[in-house]
Amino acid sequence: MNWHSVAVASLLVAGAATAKPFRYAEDQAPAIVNPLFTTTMSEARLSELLFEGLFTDDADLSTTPALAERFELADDLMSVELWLRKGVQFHDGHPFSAEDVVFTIEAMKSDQTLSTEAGRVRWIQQAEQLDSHRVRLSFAEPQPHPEDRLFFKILPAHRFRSTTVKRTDPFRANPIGTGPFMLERYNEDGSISLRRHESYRKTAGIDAVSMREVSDKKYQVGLLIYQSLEALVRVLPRDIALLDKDRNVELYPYQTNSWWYLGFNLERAPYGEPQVRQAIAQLVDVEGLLAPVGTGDLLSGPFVPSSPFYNHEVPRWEHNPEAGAAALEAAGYQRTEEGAWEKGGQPLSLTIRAHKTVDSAQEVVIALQSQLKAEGVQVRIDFLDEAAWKGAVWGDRDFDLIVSQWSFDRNEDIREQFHSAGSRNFTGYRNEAVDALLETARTARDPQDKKRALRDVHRIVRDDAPMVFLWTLDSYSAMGTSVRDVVIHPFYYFTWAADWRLQ
Amino acid sequence: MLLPLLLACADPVPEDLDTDLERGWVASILREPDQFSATVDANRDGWIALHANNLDAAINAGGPPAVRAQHELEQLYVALSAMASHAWQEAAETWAARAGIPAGSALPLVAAFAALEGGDKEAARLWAEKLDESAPPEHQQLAAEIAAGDITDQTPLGACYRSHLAVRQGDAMSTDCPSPLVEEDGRTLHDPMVFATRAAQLRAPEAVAGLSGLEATLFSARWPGSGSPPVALVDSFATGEHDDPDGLRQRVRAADALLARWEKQQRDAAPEGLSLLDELKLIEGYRSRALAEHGRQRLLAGQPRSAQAAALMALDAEAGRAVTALNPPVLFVVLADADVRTGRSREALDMLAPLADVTPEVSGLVETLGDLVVLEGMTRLGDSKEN
Repeated sequence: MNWHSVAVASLLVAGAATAKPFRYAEDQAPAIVNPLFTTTMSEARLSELLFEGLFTDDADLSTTPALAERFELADDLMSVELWLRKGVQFHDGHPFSAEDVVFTIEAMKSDQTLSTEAGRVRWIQQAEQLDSHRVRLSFAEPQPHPEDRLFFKILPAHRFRSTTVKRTDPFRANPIGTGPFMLERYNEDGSISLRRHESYRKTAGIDAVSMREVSDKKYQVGLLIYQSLEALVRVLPRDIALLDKDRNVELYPYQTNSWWYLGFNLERAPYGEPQVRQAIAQLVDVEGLLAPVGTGDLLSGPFVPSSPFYNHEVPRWEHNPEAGAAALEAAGYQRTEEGAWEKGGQPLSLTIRAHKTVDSAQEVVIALQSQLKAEGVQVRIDFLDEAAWKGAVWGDRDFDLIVSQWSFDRNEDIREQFHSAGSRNFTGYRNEAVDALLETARTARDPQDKKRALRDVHRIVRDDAPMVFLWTLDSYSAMGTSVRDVVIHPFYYFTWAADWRLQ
Repeated sequence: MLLPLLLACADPVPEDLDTDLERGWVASILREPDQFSATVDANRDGWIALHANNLDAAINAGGPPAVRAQHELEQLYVALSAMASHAWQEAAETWAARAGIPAGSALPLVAAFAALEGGDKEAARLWAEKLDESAPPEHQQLAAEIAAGDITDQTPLGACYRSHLAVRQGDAMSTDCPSPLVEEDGRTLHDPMVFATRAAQLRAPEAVAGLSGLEATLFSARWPGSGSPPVALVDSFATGEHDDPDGLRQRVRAADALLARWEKQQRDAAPEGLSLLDELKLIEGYRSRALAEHGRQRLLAGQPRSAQAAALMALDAEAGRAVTALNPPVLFVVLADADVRTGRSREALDMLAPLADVTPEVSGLVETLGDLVVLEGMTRLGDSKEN
């Protein structure tokens, strides 16, 4: 589809609708709309429109009741009793009750469900329904502020047969929540239409929402400038200048503490060897990879530089082909006459897997292939759509190297990525010292103990190089000035979308 | 240039908007470029640095730009002091609520100093009362002195406090305060008083008053010393007593239309003047400084969301992590302070990053805010997602 037809098509969609929609673009559409299996930011943002938790953030990021109305914490801090909001309906008209809360927790905890969000309820030992709108949660350890942990989205029990829920459950294509917007339809152009949930406890200022997948960032910018979209969730640095000067566009910081990385599969030879990983880290010219994306801060570890946990004393792996070659030689590799690296007759080769639908990731991967080939490493590229990515990376761990990015909320908790038991530890990284430091960070009562522990993790992880840490981008969301009363949640984006107005 | 991008103004222009351009240095440069050149040529490096908001270089260059830069740096420290007073107390309160004040820690005393910096003696007294009985005797003595409203130099921290006060009264620092202020049990507590003291060291009202004409006003958001009425673009963004960021955005957009209209009306000006207007981005620079100053006013008025909106509309997002000609350093203080006051302490850290080279003392504030970020998330579960 060319530029012109994209714009015209979107105008036609807008004209055909009875309500003026708020149209926003994502680089890639959500593969699954089921809060049990939310792994990407686009899924999390869409879930924020469709679902609610028991508690949520208020505009000052303090915990405030959502589906819960109030709570009483036991004196021993080992349980909490929750009174649920009455009169709440799911999008299909079914009333929300305590049964849904108990179901959601049990489904998330179920070993058969394999929820990617299981860690969010692991601290709850038991959930009991006391009456139709009253629940008691018991804990294995004292919880002084359980309300801070009850943000996970509540699912409708009546839409599932049991607490064992498969990733492929039809619910993913027909999500039902209690949130301010409800699914209307999936459109032929790949967009998703939502409309206002009329039974929601307050009238949303926006009648309808349309999510469009537009992988080409330049298209996104054009669509916003020509008012065929109301919002771009994330703007690349190279496009900021153009949008900043457009009178009909406002830029809002949307940092999400995100960073790009190259992730090795440590369970696959030869990438289990630190020397090989360190060698590749030095063969890569990170600044060269960043050039097509724009400007950003280069990183030496798994935090963004403004993080309290970033260790500024740790240097990043500099582009140093000589040092990289020396590291490969130390690992037993030799250079052939053609300049390729091999060991025991086997060439040093890798398959890079990256997101097919993320335009900027493709540019980075192609540049990376070019760089590594020039240094004698054979490289094959495999671009995957979202479903294939989830299967290969999250499921089978079938890759040599991936190019991707992580986004973190303000806690910047990297345990799941780097602890040997972490649910998002794709690389298979294991280091007992790191495990111990991550435990210290999670249990520390003194904030400075936590900072110290995670700064130590930064240092160790940089040296071990399970990932090559690339960069963080100065990230903004762009919004048309027709959208008023906008306050963007720093991570989930749409938390207060019901308060936005479209003029 | 603003002109090509701002012509399509959809919002009506309020009658009380006053861009004030005709009375100030923008029109002066446009109409009398020779006078501007003469002023700048007398201290070229200094004026170039001031235009770029490189305050350190402008101060080093000497002459009128140094006076102006020193005044701006003083104002920057004043803004940081206000932020620090609030942020330190917020961190201490959250520490007490979420983790408990560590036994014997001097944390309540540092929080008391922060409260005193904000002029709140009662809050300081309440903090002093929270000092644990296991704290060292000199800390107990200081707590009693804070409660009594009479801090002496008989204790090390008291001597430091008195030393700060001495500097603010024009004397030399009588005691070198340690940095960090307190080190205890592997914990460091930073000095919340350094900013106001640094501002006092930079204050030179006579030198500022000694400037006149372009030397006094060039690149400023206001027209000090020019004899013009005090109401200028800075005040024109005001929307009333409510924290109304959308209302502010509309007024800024309307003001932008006026600025563009004014620029359009200057087509017949001398080519040299038009060239300066364009190359030095004079209108954009005036606008960004006016919005930054307005943001400061909104913070003082207890309107952090409007302050943030003003500062974000001023920010040249293309260089959003750097002090530039269009991003004066105070802009980042406004953004960071507004973030802290709206619960976004983590985001405030992003905003303070560009100030590391401008004000080295900000590192203590950054560490304290980092503690606050950790404490706020202590009982939460982190979330991470791909992309």
